[in-house]
Amino acid sequence: MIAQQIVNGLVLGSIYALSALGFTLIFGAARVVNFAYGQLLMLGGFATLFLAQYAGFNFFVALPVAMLAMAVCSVLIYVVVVRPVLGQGDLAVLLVTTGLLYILRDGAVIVFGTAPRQIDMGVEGIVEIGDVIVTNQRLVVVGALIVLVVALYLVLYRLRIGKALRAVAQNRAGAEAIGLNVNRVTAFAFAISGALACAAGGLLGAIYAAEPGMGDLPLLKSFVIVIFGGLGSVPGAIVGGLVIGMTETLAGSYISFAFKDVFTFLLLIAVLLFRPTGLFGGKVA
Amino acid sequence: MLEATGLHVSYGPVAALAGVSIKVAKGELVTVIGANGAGKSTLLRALSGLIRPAAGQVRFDGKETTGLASSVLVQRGLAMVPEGRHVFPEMTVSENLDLGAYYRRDAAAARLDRERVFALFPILRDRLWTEAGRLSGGQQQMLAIGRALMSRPQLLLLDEPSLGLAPAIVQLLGRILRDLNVAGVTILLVEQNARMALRLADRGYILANGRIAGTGTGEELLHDPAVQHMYFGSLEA
Ligand SMILES: Nc1ncnc2c1ncn2[C@@H]1O[C@H](COP(=O)(O)OP(=O)(O)OP(=O)(O)O)[C@@H](O)[C@H]1O
Ligand SMILES: [Mg+2]
Repeated sequence: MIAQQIVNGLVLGSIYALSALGFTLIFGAARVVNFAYGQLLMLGGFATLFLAQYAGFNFFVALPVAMLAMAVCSVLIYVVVVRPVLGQGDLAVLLVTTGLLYILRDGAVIVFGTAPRQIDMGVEGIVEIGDVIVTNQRLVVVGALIVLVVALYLVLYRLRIGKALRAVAQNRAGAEAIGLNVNRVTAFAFAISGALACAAGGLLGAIYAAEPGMGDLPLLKSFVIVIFGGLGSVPGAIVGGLVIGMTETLAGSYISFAFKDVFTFLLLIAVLLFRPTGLFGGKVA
Repeated sequence: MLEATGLHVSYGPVAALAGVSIKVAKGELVTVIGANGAGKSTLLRALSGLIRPAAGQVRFDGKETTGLASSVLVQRGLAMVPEGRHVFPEMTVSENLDLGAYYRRDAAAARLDRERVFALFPILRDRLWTEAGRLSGGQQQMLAIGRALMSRPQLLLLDEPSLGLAPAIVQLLGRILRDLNVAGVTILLVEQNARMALRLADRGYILANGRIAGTGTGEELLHDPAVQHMYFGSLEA
């Protein structure tokens, strides 16, 4: 029974981790808190839905294509909405991204309606390991996290622009001094962020459902995870996502489902008391 | 090699540079000395494309470069060592050096330049796999200089490299800058440590309140009564 819950927690945690990764990357690179981030996740869910359900693509083709589209969309958000106010302080960024949040969500209500729609992954069956039962769909979610984390590390540690991204995140003044193009690097961080949000949205849509409000909770959770794991930290987002997914599932089934979020926040407070910079605090990318 | 005329820079209402003109000829080691807040860093930032001057002109290597981005200037051979070093703390010494060579396509020549950096700063080779954040202040300064050299600059701008370092390390850095200069790198050195900078330099400028308040050879300025009064108290040079 507990093993079953741990596996369930791992699945939820994988989606949280993906979502938090995209959120933490742009914070790390640009010190931008993107309140419209959850809506990227939502749009990614719908993009996957339409490609898989209506354009007839296989889910495993639809998701990467949607990720590409959301990467472009995220860069557009940076160029059109965020960059023009970057010099004007954190409040300006907060205001424009919050404005965008409402425009995108209400726009989605008008265009897509509020009915939840599940994305068909085209994956059937279950796996039994001892008395733990996992659907293959859920295994796909965990697998997707592993694949994307490996890909992200390759991008950050092997690609030239990925190294530049880490440099900008670690010391922006140093990056500027050696002539790295901080604007281009930030746009790149937004692209990766959009793709990761879309992955989280597509998987969430397959496990639960795509609907216009689906990005709200992941945004809040990403916030918590990123503070928990350390602002801007990549390993922090992964570990934080998994730990918080696990905590919610275990607390929800053994203590009280209604109060499962309380335990998340208790955990957050405990971490901040003992490590004010978060689990991986100070470590960026 | 580098010529700035009538540079004006303001931060909001604060005028940091009010018409600064300086010149650095090929092969020279020139210093700009000035007190806290005189505008030294602002001058270097305007010269290296990190801020755009409100008025005035910068020419580098015979071409007008006013307002060009630092990414362009680095590729044309102008490198900057910023005040406070600003190495990438969670990357190894090796990765920091690689980032200095970001725009280079000549991998083989870059490897040779890496060896040259190690010849100047052997400690960097010894600590190649150490995270830069764990280096001492002096070692970080060496890394910041090495990183800048990895772009193979014609002109090296340094912003207060002696800041916060022990006198022995400052002396060592001074010797290394001299060697670099002899090896053909033109240097513009900004310093508060006037004595160290003037002893090293062919020529110097005094920057005060965003204006050039004096100029001369290093030797002349070192013995200039006004400079002595301002920077060395009333003691000898
Ligand atoms: N980002 C900024 N915003 C507002 N004012 C600034 C900024 N940077 C510098 N200044 C002001 O401009 C003036 C020149 O600053 P600058 O940093 O160029 O001086 P400096 O000679 O390098 O000083 P230090 O020796 O302390 O490094 C100072 O009055 C400083 O307060
Ligand atoms: Mg300064």
